[in-house]
Amino acid sequence: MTPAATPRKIVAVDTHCVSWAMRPARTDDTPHTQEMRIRARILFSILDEEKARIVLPCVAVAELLVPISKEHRAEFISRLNAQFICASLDLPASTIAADLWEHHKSFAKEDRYKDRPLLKSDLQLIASAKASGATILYSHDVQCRKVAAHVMEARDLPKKHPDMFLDKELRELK
Amino acid sequence: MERAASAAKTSLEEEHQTEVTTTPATQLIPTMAMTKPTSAKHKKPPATFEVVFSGQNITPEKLPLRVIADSLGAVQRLASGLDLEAASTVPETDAIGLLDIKRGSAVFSCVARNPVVAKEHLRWTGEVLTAVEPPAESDPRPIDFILWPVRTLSQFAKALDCSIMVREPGTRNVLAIVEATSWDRLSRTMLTTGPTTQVGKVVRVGGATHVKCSMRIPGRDRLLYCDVPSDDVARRLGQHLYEEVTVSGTATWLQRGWKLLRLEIHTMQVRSSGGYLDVLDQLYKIGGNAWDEIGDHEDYIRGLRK
Repeated sequence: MTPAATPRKIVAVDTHCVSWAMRPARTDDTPHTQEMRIRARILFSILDEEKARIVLPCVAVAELLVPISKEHRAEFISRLNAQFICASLDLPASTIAADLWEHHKSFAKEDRYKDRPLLKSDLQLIASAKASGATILYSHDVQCRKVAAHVMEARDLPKKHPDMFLDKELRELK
Repeated sequence: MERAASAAKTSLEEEHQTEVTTTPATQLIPTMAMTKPTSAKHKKPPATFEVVFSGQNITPEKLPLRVIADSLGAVQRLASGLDLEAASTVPETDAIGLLDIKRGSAVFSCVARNPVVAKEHLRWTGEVLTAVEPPAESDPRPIDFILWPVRTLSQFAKALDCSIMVREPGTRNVLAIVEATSWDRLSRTMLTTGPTTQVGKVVRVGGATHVKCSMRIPGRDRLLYCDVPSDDVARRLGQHLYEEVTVSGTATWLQRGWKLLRLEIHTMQVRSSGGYLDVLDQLYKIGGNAWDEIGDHEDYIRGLRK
């Protein structure tokens, strides 16, 4: 297969990957905020280089819109939709969600979600991503990754950029 | 009748025509109209099964050759068990019937190179067609290959007001019967439609009567042939040949395994140029800065989900 014919990688990202990556660096950022912002931007930088297609499930789109004022939502969503694959919970995704629900029951008691609405939202996000063809889910949420691992590869946000110069650049950018 | 036969060919079948690269191992050879064997080496093999067009007014001479050819082709696909379509570009000519075939109904004796496998597939087809419930998810036997041949045969059965039966020769042991209603029943129990979004590369757009678009979808071996009812969307797709686009519309899936079979495209979206980091910076400026007020994003999001 020639490189041109190689299918593009399709990955999915959790809501916080986008929300952290959008944020510019600020002097009053806490170490956690600073770290998450850098890691999220490293992730998108890597995905840019890989020319990956990114799935942003509609569950995540809705969450991103919550703090945004009504007058900005239409433009925001339009820009988002032009760059990301905004995946809805279609019929195949519903089946995946049901399968994941079943799978979750097999977890040890201490690993199970304590909160059902939280589990439901996570399942919808994972299932929409999977049904859209995503093969990897990026999320900082350990519990979400544990469930997602049943249907796809689940990764935390990268800590470093493989290119040390780019890594330095991304960390220095203010 | 010819028109009805022609209607049986659809875009769904076109999907497979361009990409057939292998010949089914189970080639079906009708044993009628063969030249007389000249030596023992060319002795006529015993038939594997018979295809019977069974109906009140069915006689061999009334069956157009194209209907016979396409029906036998569909049976061959069932016997092969491969999800392939035979070429269907038979030129439309005046119907020519066959003579000197068993009177009363049209019976075609066929021989398969691999009779055991052929009969197995045909028997499985019969099982699927007569079952009240669709095959269980756990059943490893494929059903993809059954769909389009049954659709073709079912439409012929409807047009000719007959049933098409495949049976073991010289016995009444029926392997499969396709009737006018077989496709309706099969599609009702095995296919599901609903809205979806797909990403894929536009390979072709066009069509004289109905605009179609073929797309290369990741994770799918063959091209997906899509219907495009809107001329405006078709024009836009045409402007993005060999580019990756995101399309939304109504999909038809095979319930078992959720294989995407067809898609009617209603809208399309082209990924804007520019990197993700640039877009994220733009998103920040068009309202994304509201997230500045939120300290711990993970906590906030978890709160929204609870």
